[in-house]
Amino acid sequence: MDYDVIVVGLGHAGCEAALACARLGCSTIGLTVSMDNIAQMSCNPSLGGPAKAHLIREIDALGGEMGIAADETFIQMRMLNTSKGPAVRAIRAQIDKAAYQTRMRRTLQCQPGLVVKEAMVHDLIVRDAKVVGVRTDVGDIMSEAVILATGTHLGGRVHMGEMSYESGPDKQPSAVKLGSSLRRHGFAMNRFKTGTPARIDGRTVDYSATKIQLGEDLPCGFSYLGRPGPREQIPCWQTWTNERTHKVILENLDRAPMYTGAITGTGPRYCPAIETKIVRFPDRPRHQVYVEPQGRQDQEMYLAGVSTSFPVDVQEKMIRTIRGLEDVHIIKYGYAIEYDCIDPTQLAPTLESLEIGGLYFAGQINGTSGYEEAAAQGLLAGINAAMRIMRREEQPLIIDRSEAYIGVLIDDLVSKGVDEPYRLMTARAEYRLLLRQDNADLRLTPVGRRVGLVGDERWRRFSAKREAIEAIRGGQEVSDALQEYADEAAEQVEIETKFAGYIAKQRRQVEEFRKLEKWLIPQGIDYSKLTRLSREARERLGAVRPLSVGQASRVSGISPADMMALTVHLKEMAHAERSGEAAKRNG
Amino acid sequence: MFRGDTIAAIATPAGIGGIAVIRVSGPGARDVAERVFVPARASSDSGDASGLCPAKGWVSKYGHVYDGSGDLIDEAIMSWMPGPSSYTREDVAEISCHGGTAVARAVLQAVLEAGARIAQPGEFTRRAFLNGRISLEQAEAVLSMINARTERARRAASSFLGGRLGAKVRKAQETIVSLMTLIEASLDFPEEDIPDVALKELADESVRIASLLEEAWRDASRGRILWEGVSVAIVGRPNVGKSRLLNALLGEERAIVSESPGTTRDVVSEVANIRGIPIRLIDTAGMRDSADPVERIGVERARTALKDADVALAVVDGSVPFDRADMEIAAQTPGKHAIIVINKCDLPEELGREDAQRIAAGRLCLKVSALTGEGLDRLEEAIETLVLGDGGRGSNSMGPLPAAGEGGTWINGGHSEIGMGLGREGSELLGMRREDCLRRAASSLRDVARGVEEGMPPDMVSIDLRAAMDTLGELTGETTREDIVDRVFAQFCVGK
Repeated sequence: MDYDVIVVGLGHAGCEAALACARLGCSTIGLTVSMDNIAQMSCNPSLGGPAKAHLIREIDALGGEMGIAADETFIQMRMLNTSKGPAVRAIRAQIDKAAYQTRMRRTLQCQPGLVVKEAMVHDLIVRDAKVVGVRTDVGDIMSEAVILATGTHLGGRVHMGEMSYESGPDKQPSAVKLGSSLRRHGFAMNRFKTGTPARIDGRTVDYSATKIQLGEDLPCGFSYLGRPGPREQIPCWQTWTNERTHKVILENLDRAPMYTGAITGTGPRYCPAIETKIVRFPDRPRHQVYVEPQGRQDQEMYLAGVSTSFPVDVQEKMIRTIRGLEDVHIIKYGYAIEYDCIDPTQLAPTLESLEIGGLYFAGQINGTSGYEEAAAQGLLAGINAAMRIMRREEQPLIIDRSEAYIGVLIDDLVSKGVDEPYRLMTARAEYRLLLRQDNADLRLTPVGRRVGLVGDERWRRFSAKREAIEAIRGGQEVSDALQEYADEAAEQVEIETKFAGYIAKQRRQVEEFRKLEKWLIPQGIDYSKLTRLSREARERLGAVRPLSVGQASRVSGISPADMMALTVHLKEMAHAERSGEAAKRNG
Repeated sequence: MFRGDTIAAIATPAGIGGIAVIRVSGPGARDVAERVFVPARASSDSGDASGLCPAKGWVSKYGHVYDGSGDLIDEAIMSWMPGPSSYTREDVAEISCHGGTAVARAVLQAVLEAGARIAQPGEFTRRAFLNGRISLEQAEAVLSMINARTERARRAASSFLGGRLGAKVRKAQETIVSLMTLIEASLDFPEEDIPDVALKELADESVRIASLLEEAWRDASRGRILWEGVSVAIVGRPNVGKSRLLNALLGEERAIVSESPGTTRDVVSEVANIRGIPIRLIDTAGMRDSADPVERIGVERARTALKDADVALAVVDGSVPFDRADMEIAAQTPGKHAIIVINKCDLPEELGREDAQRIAAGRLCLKVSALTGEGLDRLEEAIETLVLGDGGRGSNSMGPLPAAGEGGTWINGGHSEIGMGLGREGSELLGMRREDCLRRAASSLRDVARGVEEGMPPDMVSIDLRAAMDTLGELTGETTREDIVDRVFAQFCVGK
């Protein structure tokens, strides 16, 4: 045994996973094809927004790293949805891409119990349905658990116009062998597609033709560890496509891999390439484009809104039709990337494989998109891998849909599965009003403390805030010692009071929901023998192996009649067990 | 489903029997019982300190049931069976009130308003099993029942969804889904070119749909749409034997019958069990021009009843010569769902075949004697076929019937080609569950408007809008959370 845990890939999922494992006492190694890839933001240099800011806050409340790193390195921060209610209010930040990577790399390198290594993983080493290590280009590494967080590297293929080649993002090598290894081990795979726009030279933008978007001085950042230090914020710039842009696109559709049939993977509907937008929404006279700075020291700007896989000459022509970008210099062209990911219904809600013990999956390999979604999964996979090794006697950490967006995300993945790159939205959360970004600490910091990731400083702050809330609820003055938390505490009490009726409604819904979540299904149940269930139900439940009746009810293809049959069967089993025990006692 | 909440339903078959039992089961049964039921002599029974619903031991009490506004609904017996000594092993209250759909429904309505929800098919039995009250063999029976119910519910739902009310509900749902899509898009993609939701318009629209649903609900409770049976109006000139026919079909003496014409001065409505189908028979005042103001009102009500009924039986006295008035009354019956009943065939026949044909004008025509019961079988069969259509019997049994003289039936062209298309189960299941859904959805929509009025932000009002959408979804079996996400992506060009 070389290490307790191997983390494959050190993107946003891998970083959280590796840190969590090491902090929980596991000797951990993080593998990456290049140290330059650590915590890379391959797409927008931005974090947050509805549901995503919520995730960052939840990661932070549990003791993860993303929120702290973002607060240290952001170059612009705003609060979105301020007039739409507390449930959907959300922080959004532009991040200094290079600074974030440096910050995260330093954190990994300073973390006791964690080492990193450049290596390309080719294969899993599996014995008796348990993973025991990985084969890499620099030798075998043995471990108790493996967390795969390979992002878009798995079977990656880049498309740019007529050009197409095997590659991970940013010309990194594609992990071809690992993909076939997973198939060999019986994993069902999906093929997804995502894309990225061109990066341009900021000096060649005519900012006077664009609309400026400034940051705001917010009283808080992502992390509950305190208000981020003051800094000069950098603006973003807004402009729009126009009829000439659309004309260039339509005239060149026969050169777009999206439409020539070169790309077969399923792309996300929420983040379409500009060519897709023009084709699908022909009536829209214009689409917005943001010119976003990638860093304080960087003239490379990100062109949000015009993700594309056109050939370079079309990209040049198209972008130059946009107001303010007439004389722009392109540094990196946009491209589409197809990649393999697993069907996540093959995972337990701990993100461990149902078939191979000790093997965890997190991030884009599970069919999600987004840095925040990846980090959240990495954190949960890391915690559960560590608990599997260090604290076998304890229950793994499973967060349900009523507790956190993390719970919504993971339950959607493992119960329903995905048919396109999955993005979290507040609309996916049934109990949205209870899962606010302002109360993620109240919801999850006690959980993080129990798990062991919440340190004393975080716990002290949390307890102080709770004390302040109690004081205000009781109609008392907040003591001087707690003044720092007075505003946040007052906000909590105000929301509780002002929206009490709605909160009560949602709490009642949660109570109903929990009844079914608490009704556990014994593992090892043979669904193929439950002849009262429809054939499809037997197959789906056998594949997903839901932990609870509640989870079973969300598995796709399960009808109410199937649910009734299942619950009747479970009761039968319980009766049989009880009478068996009674017989034993009497015998 | 599977909620351990408090459920209620009418436990006796629809419209049949002199007593109806409304069963309430669950942790809230005591609350519900105490709210709707007031014992006649409050706790005077020999030092009964434990009140209406003691924690232990069964009790039965006589008293009265009141609705939410304190109006008396009916006298009743309330039986209290605290868990686990009850059928479901939960606290159970059973209210036995007078039979007849209207009373039982009013009691159930009061129970629902007091905090229970309508039980799913087989839910009491399911709880009984899940709580270990009944055996495995019985559980098998539960399952087959559930399956049968599911299939019936599915069929009933499809007949409902194709109907007038179904169309209304779906339209309402469609509007709500569109509103929901607008809200969700604006909440989840604030940085896109998506207009913020105009809350005032949202409120107006919600109120509009709420009224629509409330109207549908009122329609339903007036019985114009068939909830729990089919209404059959018995019309005709005075003294042709309408009331006797009602009694004959009911199999009991209910309406007052006398030789003097115009005895029935108002509309009498009773539920009959005709070949297993609950049928609401409506006896009406004889239609004639009268100087008596009371009788005139009766005639007017008869006309309304005829208009609202699903099927009309136009009764003609076969023992008297042809009267133009019979033809005029027959002409008022809706062509398709009418049967011309030539009554008093026990008496010498005075009405000729041609006369009968003139009256029937193409409608089905049958000879009966309400007095002796002759021909009633055929009439019942005809009603059944008309209501159930072909699906009920697997045959178009109203095809050519024997000609005049053969068994006393005349046929003037059958009108049973499809019947009303309800199907036996359909008519049985068109029930209060739907009314309950409509009412709850409308109430959620009113909450949307109230929230907007109180200045609540969109994330709050979306909770009530979503509740309305989910409730209507129970009715139509459509729309899930994922559908909204799909629509957001289909309608809005989002994403950086």
